[in-house]
Amino acid sequence: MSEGYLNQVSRFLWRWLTTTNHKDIGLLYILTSIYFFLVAGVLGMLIRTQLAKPGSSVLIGNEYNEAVTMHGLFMLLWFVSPLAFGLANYIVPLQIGARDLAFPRLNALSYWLYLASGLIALASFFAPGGTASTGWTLYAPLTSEIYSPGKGLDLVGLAVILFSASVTLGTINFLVTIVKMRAPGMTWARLPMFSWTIVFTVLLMLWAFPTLIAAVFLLFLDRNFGTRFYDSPLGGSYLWAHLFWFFGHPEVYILLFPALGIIADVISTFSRRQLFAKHIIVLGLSLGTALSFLVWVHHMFITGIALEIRKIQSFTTAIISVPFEMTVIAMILTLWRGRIWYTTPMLFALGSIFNFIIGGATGVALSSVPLDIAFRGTYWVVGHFHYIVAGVITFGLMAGLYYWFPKITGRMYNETLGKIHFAIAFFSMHPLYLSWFLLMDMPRRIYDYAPEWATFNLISTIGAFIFGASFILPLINFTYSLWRGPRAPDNPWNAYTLEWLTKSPPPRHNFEGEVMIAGDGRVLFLATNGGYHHVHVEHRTLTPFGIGLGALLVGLGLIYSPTLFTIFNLNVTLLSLAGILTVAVSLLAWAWGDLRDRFVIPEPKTVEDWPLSGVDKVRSGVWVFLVGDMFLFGTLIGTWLFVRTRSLVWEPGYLSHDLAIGLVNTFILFTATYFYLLGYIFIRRGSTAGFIMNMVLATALAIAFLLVKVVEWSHLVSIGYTLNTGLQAQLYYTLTGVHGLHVLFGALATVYIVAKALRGGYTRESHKGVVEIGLYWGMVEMVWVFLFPMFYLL
Amino acid sequence: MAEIVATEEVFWRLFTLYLMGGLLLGGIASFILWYLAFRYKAGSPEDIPPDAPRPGFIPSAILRTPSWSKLILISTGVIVTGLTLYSFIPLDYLSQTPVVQSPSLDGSGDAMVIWVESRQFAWIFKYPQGFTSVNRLVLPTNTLVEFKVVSSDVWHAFGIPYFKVKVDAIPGVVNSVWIKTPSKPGSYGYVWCYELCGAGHTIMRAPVEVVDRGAFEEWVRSMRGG
Amino acid sequence: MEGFRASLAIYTFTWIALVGGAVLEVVFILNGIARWPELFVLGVSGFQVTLILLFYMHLRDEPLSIKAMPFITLLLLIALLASAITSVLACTPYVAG
Repeated sequence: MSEGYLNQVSRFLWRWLTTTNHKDIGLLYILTSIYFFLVAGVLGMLIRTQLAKPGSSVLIGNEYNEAVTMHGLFMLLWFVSPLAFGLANYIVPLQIGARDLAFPRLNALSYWLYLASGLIALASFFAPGGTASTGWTLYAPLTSEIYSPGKGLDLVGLAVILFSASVTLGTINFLVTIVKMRAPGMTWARLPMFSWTIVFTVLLMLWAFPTLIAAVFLLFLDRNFGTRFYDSPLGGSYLWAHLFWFFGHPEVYILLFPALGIIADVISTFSRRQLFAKHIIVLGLSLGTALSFLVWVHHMFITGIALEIRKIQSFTTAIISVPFEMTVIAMILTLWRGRIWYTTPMLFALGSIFNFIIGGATGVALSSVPLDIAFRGTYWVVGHFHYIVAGVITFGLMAGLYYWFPKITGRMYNETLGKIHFAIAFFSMHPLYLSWFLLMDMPRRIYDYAPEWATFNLISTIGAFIFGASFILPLINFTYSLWRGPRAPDNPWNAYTLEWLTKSPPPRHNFEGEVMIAGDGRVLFLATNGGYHHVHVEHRTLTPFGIGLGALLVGLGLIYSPTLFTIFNLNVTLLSLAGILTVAVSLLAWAWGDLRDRFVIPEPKTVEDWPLSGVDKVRSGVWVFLVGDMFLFGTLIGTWLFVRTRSLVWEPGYLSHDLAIGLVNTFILFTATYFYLLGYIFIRRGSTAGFIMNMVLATALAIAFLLVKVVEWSHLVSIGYTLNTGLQAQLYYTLTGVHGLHVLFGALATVYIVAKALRGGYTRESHKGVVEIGLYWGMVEMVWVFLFPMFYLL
Repeated sequence: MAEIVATEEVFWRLFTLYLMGGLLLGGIASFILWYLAFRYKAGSPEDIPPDAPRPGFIPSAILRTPSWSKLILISTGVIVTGLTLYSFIPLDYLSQTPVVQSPSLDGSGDAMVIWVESRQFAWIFKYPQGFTSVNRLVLPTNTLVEFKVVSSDVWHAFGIPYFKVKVDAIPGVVNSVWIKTPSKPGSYGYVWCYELCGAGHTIMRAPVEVVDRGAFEEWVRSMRGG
Repeated sequence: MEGFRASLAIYTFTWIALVGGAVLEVVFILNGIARWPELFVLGVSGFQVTLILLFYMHLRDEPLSIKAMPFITLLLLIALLASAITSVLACTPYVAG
């Protein structure tokens, strides 16, 4: 009997650890994000308890700052976006008529990296010295090793970087999926609002997260390797502010858009009307997406920067409210001439529109610089963004959970309990958050305050407890309904988007037959075309889990393990080493599976794929990745430019680099890329031998580049020019180091395609990967084209 | 002094404008929301309008835009842009440093410059009369005071709620902000730190007292002399 | 995609231009011929990057939406850097004393 049990457990584990199906991964994201919601929610309750009355000592000092910081980080990074992406994972392929996402293994990897990052962030609480206590905005120089000693902040930084990596993979996946895998007839005009908003969200992520990765990476160097990027006189901390808020403003739209999409779909379904002026909403949201990158200075209005810049961005901030006003009005007008059915999701959706009016109006006040001067750093700001994050985004996500619960689980939740949840949440959130506008003089992030602020703080705390408690209801509701709820029909809401035209829950391949949408909008399910349905495709792999596990071990190894040895000032611990080995082995296994063509998914013959027609999925994905990588390098090169324009001279520690070595390496790199491209034209005429020869030459030259660099660095270190010798040195080592890592990965990738060719995998027609890795080499070369003159000539 | 509008007055006027605008527009939008939500309530879940989208058909977006929606679009844009451009006037006003022209920089006239050094976790006020006051800001009535704010460690933010002024204290940089003290002596709240700066961020506060000229001169003497 | 000879010609030409550009930079800057070295370098690097994008990475053969991505990236970087640099140029420096 116990053997049967063990068997069951191991089958269960195997099923979940090796899945790459979008529905499974969606569920994993949803459940994990709810866990982090509870963690962050408890931290919020602690904060409100401390603030219930002045002079309280429930949570004070640095611990209070830790609670405030991690409440913010967990809510924004580990709850909101992952829940949105859990729903997106599950629902978007259904809405567009696809079978899965474009890159299922990458999807699984995104999840395991997310989980690893969240666990590392949790572990940071237990680091000696505690976790980050600088606010989620991580302002320098408070985050330097001087003012925030201890490894807690490093763990949080690592968690943020891992999370950003997870998100970047998700960006590639969703962009390629929604553009290139829509069923025939599913034009952009027919695409539901939720899928549209996911497109905008991932576009925002594409250009926002690389800046964050660069910024946190530089912080990590400052804290652990003695560089002084953020500390240097004449504005080092401005550098952090600009980089962080360049990410930070698009981030808030990354949080908002999926919820808006859900609210739009829900309102449309339950008023029985098409969304009013949907094309205007889409136009508005695309304008908002573009503008969101030009308003970040409104978080820096009192930093003393140039008046002209503040005026320009005050103007752009005001303009950016217009598309959202349009969206809200369009959603309200969707109700007109409808027949509104008041279900729980609809109540949450309408409640969020009301909250958006309040949150948006208070935001417009913040766009005016004189008003912002008074409101900055006060509870007015906190009230504004909580109305949006809790009142609009969380309500929107709750609407999504209730709305799609029957589709995902095949059971109906209890409607009465749902309505009670809405009533309690909606009515308690106003005392909770409105009081903060009346506390517009009270500073943020303080644990004790002036007596005249006591009344509103108490009201707010009472509201907080009721609001927090209300979330017990959906927990009970969903858990119980999952187990004992009545079976849900395929389309309980009589909705018209595609996900409702299949079973609840959907079968593994989502639809019975191929989806096609005729000219008049009729949805057809065709019998399988050309054997697509019957090909057995390998879906399961343990490698994404392996990489996530390795990442987790590396993170935990930062604090929980004995040091084995030290290289370049870095303590390599047992756990970290185990983690790195796990990652390496998993990557090798992944490549091995690819070499044997185990994961080739046949593509359907016809598909809507404007505007990427004629570009295959992998190449599209690689371009998306490269754009993110270009932005990362752009930020780092920009840092050089920033530092250089501020300092009239480079001291201390300026060194004129050896031009000869630089020129030699430049020549080597240019020639390596050249040979790579020669190999490409050889394989295009079918000559495998010519291909392999050129690839080997390219790889050899790439290795030579790295060897020359090692020689150069050793020489520099031996004459005393190290990472912390000064501004020029830290920029030099950081930039050429990151570039060198890219060259290394390029060389490994080239070795991989040589192996593939040797196995006979490449022909004149089919040589997957050659173009893509060639694109990558192009980018590596582009970066060097700047680095060479920057460090050897200027 | 009469022609100089106090900073808090500038704020309240602008804030009232935005508040009225927000309440009006937000009120209209909310009213329409609630009205439509009640007016078009369905009799039952089966009550469906004849032109409702049906399951099994995916509608395409309708590409005609009603002209009144364009009107709403343009008017909201105009209102919001107008308010912002209008804000540039008080912004320019607040951004000047009126004390710079004043001849009496030793504090004996209607204007003075006080250096504010922020540090973890105290406010150090360096008066022009040549002394330092820690965590206590005493000012004479009816005076233009310019604060030059610096930091010796991390980011802080110097702000006095009553006067609605605030500026970041950034290491390596001098920022400035000015106020005009009222004519009525009294206690005007505290200087608070508005940027999280460490474990003692909460305790960084300094009471602000405005006293008449005579009392101020006495205080100055006591701080310099003994 | 062009045939073997055409591709070979394009890649070889690009390689020569890249190497030549690097040599040009060295010669001009070491001999002080370029009056504003930073601008000169920006120009040469920009030219080389354009060559790589167009000919090595075949950007000219890609659809518009892919062409747009690096272009938008460049615009955003310019916005970020312009703001960051001008913002600190306007700051009053302070040395604790």
